[in-house]
Amino acid sequence: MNACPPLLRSPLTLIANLDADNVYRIFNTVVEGSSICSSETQKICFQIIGKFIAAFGRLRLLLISLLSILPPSQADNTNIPNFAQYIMQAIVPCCFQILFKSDTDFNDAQQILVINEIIKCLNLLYQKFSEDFIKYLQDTYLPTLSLNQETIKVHLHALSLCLFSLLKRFIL
Amino acid sequence: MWDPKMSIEEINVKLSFSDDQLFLYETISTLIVTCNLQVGIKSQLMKDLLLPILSSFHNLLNKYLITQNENEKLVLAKCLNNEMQVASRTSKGFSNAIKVKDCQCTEVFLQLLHQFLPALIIQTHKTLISAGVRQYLHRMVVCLDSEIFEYLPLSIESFIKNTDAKDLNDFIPLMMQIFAKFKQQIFGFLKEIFMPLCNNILNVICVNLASHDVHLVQDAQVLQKSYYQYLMAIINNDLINVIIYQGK
Repeated sequence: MNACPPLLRSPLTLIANLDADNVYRIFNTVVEGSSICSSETQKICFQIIGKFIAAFGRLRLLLISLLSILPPSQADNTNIPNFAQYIMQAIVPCCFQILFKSDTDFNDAQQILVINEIIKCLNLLYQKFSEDFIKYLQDTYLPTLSLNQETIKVHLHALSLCLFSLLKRFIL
Repeated sequence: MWDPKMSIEEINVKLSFSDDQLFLYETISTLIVTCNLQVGIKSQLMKDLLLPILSSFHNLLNKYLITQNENEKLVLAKCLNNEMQVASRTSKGFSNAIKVKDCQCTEVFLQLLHQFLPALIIQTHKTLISAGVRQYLHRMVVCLDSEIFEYLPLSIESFIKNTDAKDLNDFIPLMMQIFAKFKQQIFGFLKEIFMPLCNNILNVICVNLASHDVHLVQDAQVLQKSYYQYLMAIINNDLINVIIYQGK
């Protein structure tokens, strides 16, 4: 199992009365399953991850809107609470690793279903974290894959267009 | 029902007819539930049908715990399983539409559950016993409403104690049935039981995966898949807050 990320006393943890150890233990098992299990199980894992991203996003909004601890404009600029950090550090890599894996078979219907769920997760991340997400990909994650800056830019542009069109389809 | 004076050989012969016996119980129960008699009479008839199980199950269990003879133990375990099957099949007269409480039979079915749960301490023939209890619980989740809540923590606790991957794997569908039926109603209780159950499942998976026995590793892989389905079932039944709100 992966080690839990360091616990930060973020407002999110306070408000959710969250025993982060427990939640992250469960989370780590899901992240682990999304990379090592059969396609069928991987699909379930990414569905779970998607639901979590959606739910935690709601909590963050609840925190901002109900308690007015942070006005929305300021909240967008603050450091992302530790769940968001966790998403970036654990979930983003496991989404991309499958997409970039050499043995991913785009003709296999089961694997296409997994990729479908991954795209939904990435789409959700873009909805929740928008520019922070793209910035993280550009500055932190994609460079670790030894891609050159030019390729990264092209990829990100394509990705944001793709996510944007998905988002548009989702809203309209 | 089982007669204390019967020899083990006689019991064995009796068990070989158990399929017919189960159909008979199911038919009688359906007749009682659907007939035009007053509710009070229906309730009494159902009690007449089920109460013998209560006492004979208790006697059988005691006998099982005392006896040292392995063959005898196996026959007794089969008997215990048979009695639980009889109770489960008797509940088949009821359904989602006609509840146990409509016929005032809740008490006797809960008494039976109360009687069956202690049998889960049996280790040698655990598969037979837990299959019986599990089947009965599946039926009770269908026919009872919130009356079963009182027994759920104890039932789940008894199931996850000293259990192996196969048993846990068979147990997860029962949990999923409970989520699907009761949804938000079980939030408070699930909040408490969620982490112990997960830890138990994860520990069994870890231990099995580390072993060199191919069958144990396979069991663990199957359990791992069920575990994700179990998480998904929690989320799909609007119980994601159970996971998020894991308080200390």
